[in-house]
Amino acid sequence: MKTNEKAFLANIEKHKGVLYKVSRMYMDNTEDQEDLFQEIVLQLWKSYDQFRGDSQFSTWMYRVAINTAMVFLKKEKRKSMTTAYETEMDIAAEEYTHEKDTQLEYFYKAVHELNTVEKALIFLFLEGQSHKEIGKNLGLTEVNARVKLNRTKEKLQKIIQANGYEF
Amino acid sequence: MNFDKLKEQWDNEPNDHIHIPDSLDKLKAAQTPVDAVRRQMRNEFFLQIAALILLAFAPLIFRLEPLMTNVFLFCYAMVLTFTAYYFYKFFTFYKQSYNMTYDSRNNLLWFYYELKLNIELYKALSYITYFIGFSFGVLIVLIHKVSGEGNLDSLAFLDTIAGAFPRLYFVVLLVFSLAFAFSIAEIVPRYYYGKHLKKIKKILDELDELE
Repeated sequence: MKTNEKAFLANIEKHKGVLYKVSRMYMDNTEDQEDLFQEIVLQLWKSYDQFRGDSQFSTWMYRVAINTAMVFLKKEKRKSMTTAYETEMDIAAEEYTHEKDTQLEYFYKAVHELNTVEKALIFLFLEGQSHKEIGKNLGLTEVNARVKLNRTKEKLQKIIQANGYEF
Repeated sequence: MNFDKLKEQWDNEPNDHIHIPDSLDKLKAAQTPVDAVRRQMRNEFFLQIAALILLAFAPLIFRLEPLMTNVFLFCYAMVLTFTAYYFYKFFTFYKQSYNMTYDSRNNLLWFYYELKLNIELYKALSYITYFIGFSFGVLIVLIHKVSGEGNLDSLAFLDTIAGAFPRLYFVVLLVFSLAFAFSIAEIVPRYYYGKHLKKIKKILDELDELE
């Protein structure tokens, strides 16, 4: 394996949680989440030459991951045969449904009712990005990012309440 | 709603269950609109090349006389010139990398307008080809009628139909050929690329939404 590829995969391993979260926010079933996860890794690899190392890997990764997730096309007809990769990349999402962190479960459920941009706003916010950074990633002004994020938070809260949960 | 608490849970979400492959060779799928459009454009390119090659044999297939063959070659050269320009623009778009490291708006805007431009070029090429083809058809009939050159056995059916319904024939031919040209120029790109444009436009509108 080339050194470049090895370094890339090491970085992906380090940040796989983030990629999984993006996939889970944008897709509502495990198979689509796996596909999106795979697609993000592929797009990151294709764009890896453009990563010059003058910014953090994670900063660059957020942008590519969000850009990919926003336009990702679900498979219309799922093939009965899965690829070796899909089998290998076994995201055991079911595990979560049995875990105690129901708040996150309600959160993910509510997030699927948000639009594409709102999902990106919430994701970047939860990843600890400032309004300025969120704006920079999405191509919005800082003020616009703040206003949109606040509205999205309110919307999310209403959805969660409407689903019969409060936290 | 306590977002701080949510964020804490978010940060602590386990990820041990996610397995990254040890090689990137297994990554084959490409499901972004850019990849889908590229695949479609590549297919169309080969289809158009095949059609152009086939078209080159038209004088032999229809056994055209020298004068008509010259007219055909002139029209064919025009079609080739316009198609070459379209292919040039097509390759420029095709080769441009989809720079995922731009911010989302720039990324989407670039793709949206590039795709729109290519669709418009495709439409223009379809209409131009149609008008050249139609003009060639008219010229053939005129040459045949005026100079009487060429005993067009293969086109004899035109005389029969035109003789029986001269005006109706022309109108029907015009309407059907226009309908065909329209469907090729308008419906085909909408079918193949319309959904991608619509999706991107929707996201751009969401980004622009200010209320």
